[in-house]
Amino acid sequence: MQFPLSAQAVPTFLFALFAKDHRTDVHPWCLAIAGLTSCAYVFVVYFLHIQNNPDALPIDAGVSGFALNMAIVISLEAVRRAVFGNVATDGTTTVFPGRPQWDMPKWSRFGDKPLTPQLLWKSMEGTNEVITNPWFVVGMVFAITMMTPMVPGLEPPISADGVFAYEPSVVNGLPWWAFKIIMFCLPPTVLLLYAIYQYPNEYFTPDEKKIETEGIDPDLVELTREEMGRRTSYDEQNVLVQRRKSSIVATMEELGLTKEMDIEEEKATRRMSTPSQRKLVSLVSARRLENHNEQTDKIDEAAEEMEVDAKLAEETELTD
Amino acid sequence: MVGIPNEAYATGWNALRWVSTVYGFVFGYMSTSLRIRRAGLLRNHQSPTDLITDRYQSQVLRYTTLLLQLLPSIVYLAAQIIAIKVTFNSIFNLDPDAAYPVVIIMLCIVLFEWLGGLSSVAITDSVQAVVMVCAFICIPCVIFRNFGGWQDLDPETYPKPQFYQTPTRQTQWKYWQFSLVNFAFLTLPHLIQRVYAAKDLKSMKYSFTVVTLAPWFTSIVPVFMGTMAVAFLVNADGTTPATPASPFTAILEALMDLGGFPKGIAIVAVVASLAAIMSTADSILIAISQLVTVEIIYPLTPNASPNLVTWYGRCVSLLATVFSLLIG
Repeated sequence: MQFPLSAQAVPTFLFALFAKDHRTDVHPWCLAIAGLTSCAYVFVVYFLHIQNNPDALPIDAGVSGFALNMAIVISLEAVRRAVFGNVATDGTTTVFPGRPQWDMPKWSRFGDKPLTPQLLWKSMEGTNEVITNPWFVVGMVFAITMMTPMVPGLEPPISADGVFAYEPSVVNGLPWWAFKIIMFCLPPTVLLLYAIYQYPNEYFTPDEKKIETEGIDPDLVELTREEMGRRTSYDEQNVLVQRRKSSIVATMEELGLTKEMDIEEEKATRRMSTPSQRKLVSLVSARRLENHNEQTDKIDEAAEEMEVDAKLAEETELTD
Repeated sequence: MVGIPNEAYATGWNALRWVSTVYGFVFGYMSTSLRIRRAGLLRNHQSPTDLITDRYQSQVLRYTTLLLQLLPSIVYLAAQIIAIKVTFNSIFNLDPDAAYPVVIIMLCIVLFEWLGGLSSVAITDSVQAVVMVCAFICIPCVIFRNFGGWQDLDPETYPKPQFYQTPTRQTQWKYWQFSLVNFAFLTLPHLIQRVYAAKDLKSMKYSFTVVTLAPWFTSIVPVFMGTMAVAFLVNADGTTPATPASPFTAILEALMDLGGFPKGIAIVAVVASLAAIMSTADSILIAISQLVTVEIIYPLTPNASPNLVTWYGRCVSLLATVFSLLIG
């Protein structure tokens, strides 16, 4: 039963992870209704039809439940868009606004902006993902399907006294169809090993020069070990993370990286790393630091250098 | 690894479906783990449902997902309890319905989980897996040496000749569906926990490589054990197959009767198989504990101290164990 039941959560996870934008995203209530309906379907089919029924149809409650689940999701979403229009937004406050307050959980422990499909896709830029290659998905499903025997059933026939009508074909003692299954294990093994080879050793991060000249989206900065798991109450905001992100934003504003730059100005900036640019890189790469004290020192050092630079700039202005 | 020899003993080479299904599981788990982990690192996700809560900000969907993760976990835990009861009682020739051994074992699991948390669960998982794989490399060698291999079987004299027939159409349909359905393992909370807890992507890569190659040792070997056992676990007349309550333990008992190295390997396999079932049970238990504590209890007591939340988790572990024992 556990396999069919867990299959009913798959559509929710797939849409959550791989919807590209508000056009391909699905309203959470559609996912919830579909999940609950298909869960009930699994129980009904399993206990009322499949269990202890020798004449049961050869349906798997999980696979058929998943198909039902997806059909309900698509139908409900189509009806919702036809009736209400697509109210999904770019998610500055929430991805699907207009829902009652009781449906909105507390989520400040995650950040001050919602996790949108765009943010998730942006965070995966530069990282190789085989599942986003439709040919690989088709290939895997095909390779797994080919492992099914797909042969005429109950051959060779056996008489009532247990004698074969003709000798069964065997390969090294195995029935030929069992040998075929084992041989057909090789393609999915090879495909998966190829996919694992493509699996990155770390997530893509822009190089330091790019961070210095173009900045970085603060929402794409990974949390350090120290920043993760720090909670003394249920929905406590993560102060360490907010502090680091604020420092990044402030440094980028100082560098003028939030505004569009003149091409020549950009070229000039690329030629050398200023102290501010180095500060920005060190703030972003705080994850590489193991020692919490070293991280705090770096942030404090960056703040001090900002003050020094500000004073220098003031003095330069006065001199001018 | 305990169930496959039993299934192979009952249904023959149709038990190879467990080989096919591993590829669906690895495909789903590996493909989604990159994003789940990435989102967790950017957004401080801790609970297996946090991704959905953060992504959709909907209580309705959050608790629906929680239900769809809890239900299979409880069923999975109950299945492990049944497996412990059958295996343990069979090994020690106890009454098959005796419940006290499995109750004691589950209470021990709860205690060790309280003491060691996820670290102890993960470490014991790794240790028992290594021992199990070593045992499952040695056992077919012992069977081959003492009872022969597949090439020594004669379909005409094999006690269950129906195993040589091609599967029925219905069986083939179910085979195909079973190969695909375990793509859904990606939603299981104890597997999402491991995505969050992994040291880095490299260690996840090693894990996926091991699991991809594992069917050649952990699925095909048990099928070999089960199908060969039909030939050497026969009744006194020498032709009709025996009907042991647990063919897996009957196979190991037959190896123990050989003495020497086979006996040693069989004892290791018995211990390792019990350890494997127990480690699966404690993984599920800690996942259930986290889900219920973080998603249900903590929101109701938002200012509870971390120490108190830990005790909530321990109580939930105990209650989940009791509930699953009653079901199992």
